[in-house]
Amino acid sequence: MGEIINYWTFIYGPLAIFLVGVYGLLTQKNLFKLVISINIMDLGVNLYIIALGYMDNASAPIYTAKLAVTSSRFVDPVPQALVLTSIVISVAVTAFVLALVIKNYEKYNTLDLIKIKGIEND
Amino acid sequence: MINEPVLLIVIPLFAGFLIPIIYLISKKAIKYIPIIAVFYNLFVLIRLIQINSTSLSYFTTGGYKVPFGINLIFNSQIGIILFAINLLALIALIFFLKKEFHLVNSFAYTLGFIIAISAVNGMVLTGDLFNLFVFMELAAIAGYIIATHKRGYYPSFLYVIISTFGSLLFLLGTITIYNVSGTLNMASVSENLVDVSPHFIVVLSVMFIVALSSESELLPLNAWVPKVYEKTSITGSIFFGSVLSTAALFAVIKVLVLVFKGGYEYLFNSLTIIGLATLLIGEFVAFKQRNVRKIVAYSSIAQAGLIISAVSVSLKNGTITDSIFNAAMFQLLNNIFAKGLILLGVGLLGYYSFEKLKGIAGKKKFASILITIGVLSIIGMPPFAGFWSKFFLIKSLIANKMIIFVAIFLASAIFEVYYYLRFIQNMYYEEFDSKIKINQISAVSYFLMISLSFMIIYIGFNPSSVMKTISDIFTGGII
Amino acid sequence: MKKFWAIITVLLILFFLGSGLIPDLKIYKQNNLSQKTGKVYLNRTVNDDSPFKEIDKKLYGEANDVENNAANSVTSVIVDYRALDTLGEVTVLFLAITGVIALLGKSKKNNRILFEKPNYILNASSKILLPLIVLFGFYIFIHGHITPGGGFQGGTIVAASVLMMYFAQNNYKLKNNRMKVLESFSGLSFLIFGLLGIFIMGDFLQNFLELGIMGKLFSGGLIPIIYILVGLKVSAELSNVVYEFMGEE
Repeated sequence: MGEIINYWTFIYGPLAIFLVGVYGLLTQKNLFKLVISINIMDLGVNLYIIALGYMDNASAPIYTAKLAVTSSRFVDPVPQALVLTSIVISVAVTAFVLALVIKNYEKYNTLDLIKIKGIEND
Repeated sequence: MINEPVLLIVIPLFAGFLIPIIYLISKKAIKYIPIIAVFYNLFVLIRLIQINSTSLSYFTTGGYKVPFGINLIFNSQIGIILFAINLLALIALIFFLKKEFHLVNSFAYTLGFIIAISAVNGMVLTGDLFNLFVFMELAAIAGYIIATHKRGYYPSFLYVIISTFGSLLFLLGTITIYNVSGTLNMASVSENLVDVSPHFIVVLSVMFIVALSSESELLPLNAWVPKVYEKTSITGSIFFGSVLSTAALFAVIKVLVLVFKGGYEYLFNSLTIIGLATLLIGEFVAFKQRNVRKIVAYSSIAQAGLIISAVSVSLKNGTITDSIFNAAMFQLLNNIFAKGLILLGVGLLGYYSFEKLKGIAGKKKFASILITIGVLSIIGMPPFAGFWSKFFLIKSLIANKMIIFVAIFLASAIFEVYYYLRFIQNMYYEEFDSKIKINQISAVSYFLMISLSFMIIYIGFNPSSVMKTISDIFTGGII
Repeated sequence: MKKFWAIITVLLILFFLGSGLIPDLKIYKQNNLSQKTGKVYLNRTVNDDSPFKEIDKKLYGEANDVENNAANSVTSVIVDYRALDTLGEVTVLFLAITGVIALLGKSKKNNRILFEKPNYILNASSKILLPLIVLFGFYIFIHGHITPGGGFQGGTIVAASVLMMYFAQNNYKLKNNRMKVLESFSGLSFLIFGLLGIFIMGDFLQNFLELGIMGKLFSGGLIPIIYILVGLKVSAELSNVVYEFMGEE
C-alpha cells in the first residue's frame, strides 16, 4: 500500500501542480496571476525533475568520510544539477516578467488582459 | 590560432560582459564592441568552414568525451548557415547602432543584441538536449527584451507567457528522456530509446513539437509572432524574422534528425500535417492583412510550416540526404536574406499600412526596387534565389510522387503571390498621398539593403553551387 | 464556461501524459543508475574506456588521479562536466537583470518604496547581522565543492542581506555601479578561465590546475575558483534586482 502511495505522490503530484499552473494560464485574466501560474508550473516541473532522480534508500551524492567509495549508494546527481539551472532560469524570467507587468500597468493603467487587448486593438 | 566552434558562443559573450565596464568609462564607446565581436565571429567562421569537412564532427567541451560531456556539432554546411545568420545579425546590428541606438536605454539593448547572437549560435551548434534548453531560454530572454524596444510591453508579455510554457514542456520532455534513456546527448538518445512502448514515443514527440513550436513559429504556440513583429523596432523585426526564427527552425530540424531519426512514421506523418496546416493557415491569414509587417509575420509562419513539412516528409523514409531535405535547407537559407531585405526596406520607408504606402515607389524609386527584389525572391520569381529553392523542392517532391503535398504547396503559393503582388501594386500604381511625410534613407541603410539584394541575386544566378555547399548537412553524424 | 473547457483541457493533458509517459518511467524502486550518465559522473570515469564498469575505489580523503575531484558530485556536474550550461545560466540571469534595468531604469514613477518607520529591532540588529549574513554567503559558495551549497545558493544569501538592509534602513542605498563592475568582472574571469583551458589543455573550460585531495578546501582544480566567481556574480546580479525593484529616491 505504501508503495503505491509513494508511486502516485512521486509522479502524479508534480504533474498535478504543473496542471494547476496550466489551468491558471487558461482561466486567469490578471497579468500578475498569469505570472503566478507560470511560477506554479515551474514548481511542478522542478519537483518532477527531482522525483525522477530519486532512488530508494540512497543518500545525497556527496562523498564524505563515511561514504567514501564509488560503490556507495547515491541518488542520481544529474537531475539535481539540472534542477538548479532550471530554478535559476525561472528566477531570471520571473524578475523580468514582473518588471514587464509594472511597465504594462504604467502604460495601460490596468492589469486586466481583456482591457489591455481592447486598448491595443483600438 | 584556435579553431573551436565554441568561440562563436564565447566571443559575443565576452563582448557582452565587457560592455557594462566600458559603459562606465564612456557611453559612446560601447557602440564599437559588438561590431568588432561579430566581425571577429565571421572571421572565425570562415576559418572553420575552410578547415572542417562536410561530414558532421563532434567538438567536446571541458575535455569530456562525447556522449557524456556537452558537445557541439559542426561541419562546413552548418558553418554556411551560421554564416548567413551571423551576417544578418551584423546587418541588424549596424542598422541598430546607426539609427536606433538612441531610441531608449541604449546600454541594455546593445547588450541584449550581442548576447542574443551568442545564444543563437549556441542553439545552432549544440548537440545536447539540456544545453539546447539553456540557449533557447537565453535567446528567448534576449527576444523578450528586444520586443520591448518600441514600448511593445503587451506583445512582449504575451511572448514571455507562451514561450515559457513551451520551454517548460521542453524541460519536461528532456528530463523524461534522461530518465528512460540515461543520456542527454541528442545523438545517443535515439539508440538508447529501445524498450519503450510506441505510445511513449508519440506522447514524447508531441510534447517536443509543441515545446519547440513557440520559437520556431509553428502552429500550436505561435500566437505571439504577428503581435511582436508589429510592435518592435526595425532591428527587432530583422532579429525575429531572420535570425531567431532560422536558428530555432534549425534546432527543431536537428532534434528531429538526431533524436527521432527513422522509424517513427506516426510522428513524421503528423508533423507533415501540422506543417501543412501552418502553411495554409499562415498564408490564408496573411491574405487578409493590410499591414506589411503583419503580412511578413504570417508569411514567416507559413514558410516555417513549409520547411518543417518538407523535412518531415523526407525523414519519414528514414533518409536525411535526399533532395527534399536539401531543398528544404536551401529554402531556409534563402528566406534569411529575403525576409531580412523586406523587413529592413519596409522599416526604412517608415510606414506599414497599405494606405500610407500608396504610390510611395514614385518618391522612393531605388528603395522600392530593392524591396521588390526581396518580395520577388520570397514568392519565387525566376531570376532570384527563392525561385530555385521552390523549384528544387517541387521537382524532388514530384520525383517522390507526393502529389497532394505539391498541390497544397502550389495552392498556398497562389495566395502568397496574390497578397505580395497586391503590396507591390499598391506601392507602384496607386496615387501618392501628398500629406504623408517621406523619411530620408541614409547611405548606410542603402548599403545594407544593396548587400542583401546582392546576396539574393548571387544565389539566384548560382543556385546549384550554393545548394551544394549546404546539402547533406547531417551526413556521418549519427553515432 | 471558460473554466469548464480549461478543466477539460487539463484533464486531457493529464490523461495524455498519464497513459503515455508514466508507464515507461523508471522511478522510485525501478530507478537505477546502471546505464545512466549520472553513474559515470559519480564514478568520475567519463574518459575511461569502459565508463559504466562497476568499480570499488576509495575517492574521499585521498589524492586520486581521477578527472574531477569535487566531493560534492552535484557541483562537479554543474561546474565541470556541464560547465557550458552554467555559463549559459549565469548569462541568462545577467541578461534578465539587464532587461529589468532596461525596463525600470529610467522610469519616472519608479520612486523608492519607503516604510513609515523601520522596525527598531530590525534597524538596530541589521548592522550586526549584515556582516554575518555576507560571511555565511561567502562560506556557502567557497565550500560549494565539498559540502551542499555553491555559487547560486551563496549568492542568493548575500543578496538577501541587501534586501534586509533596504527593509531596515530607509536611507540605505546600494552602490549599484560597483555591483555592475563586479558582475562583469566575474563573468569575464569565467570566460578567461575557459579560454585558458583551450590554450593550455585544448578544450574550453578544461581543468588545468592540480586536483589535490578530495574533501580538502584546496581541491578540485578549477571548480572552487569558478564557483566563487559564479557566487560573486550571482550575489551582484540579485542585489541589482533588489536595487532596481526598490527604486531610487
